[in-house]
Amino acid sequence: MSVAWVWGVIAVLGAATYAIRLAFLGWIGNRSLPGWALRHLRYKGVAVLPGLVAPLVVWPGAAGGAVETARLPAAAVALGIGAWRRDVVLTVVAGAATLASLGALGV
Amino acid sequence: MRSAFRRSAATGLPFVVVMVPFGALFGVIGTEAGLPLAQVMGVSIAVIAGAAQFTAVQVMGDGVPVAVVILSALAVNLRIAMYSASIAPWLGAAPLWQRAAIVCLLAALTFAWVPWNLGLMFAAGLAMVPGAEAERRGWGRA
Repeated sequence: MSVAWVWGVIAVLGAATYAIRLAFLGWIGNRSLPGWALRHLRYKGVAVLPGLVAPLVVWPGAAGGAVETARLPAAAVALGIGAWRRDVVLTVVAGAATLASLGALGV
Repeated sequence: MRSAFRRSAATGLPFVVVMVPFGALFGVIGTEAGLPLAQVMGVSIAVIAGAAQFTAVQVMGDGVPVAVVILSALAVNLRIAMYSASIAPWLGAAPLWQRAAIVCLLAALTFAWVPWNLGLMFAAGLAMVPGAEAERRGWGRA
């Protein structure tokens, strides 16, 4: 792909992604959503976020989709510290440190 | 209003901790895929969506048609439309120009933080991504 084409792709992706972002907030605005829609949206957080995180923990692409022992305790530590301290930085550092030290130990 | 802004900025600040390695990782992958620095930065600035950026760059390297590159990256981004709908009850009353500016920063992290405070879990998962990628590439191995 030539350099000019790549710039074109970047521009299209940027514009389309912005349109996706604005889609509902711009369009719905101050109108209230029907109850059924709000009810569904409420569960979006618990549905999507574990869906994003779980594969990274259990079937990491880094290991070609195989289970890696070090990731499970790292996720558990991150989750535990997060639930206990409610501190994002601490959670991230604890999870990463667990993963790194288990990796260094050759787990 | 001012203090709300300051409080929000303070709440969002920790996410920088995860965003810096994420950005660095994209820099490495983009450069390795053969993109010049300006374009790597261009993708980050124009798209601002981690997963789609990685998808686009990876698919580009596979030499597929342009339409496929765009469609696969946008498919990854469709979830943002749901984030957009989810925050409408909170931010819908703002003037259009403010909403137009706010959505620039709409991503899983901000979405998660605002209504349900699940950002914690996501951030924890995200923190594993750079490490995982580094491992895949065999960094730190003799």
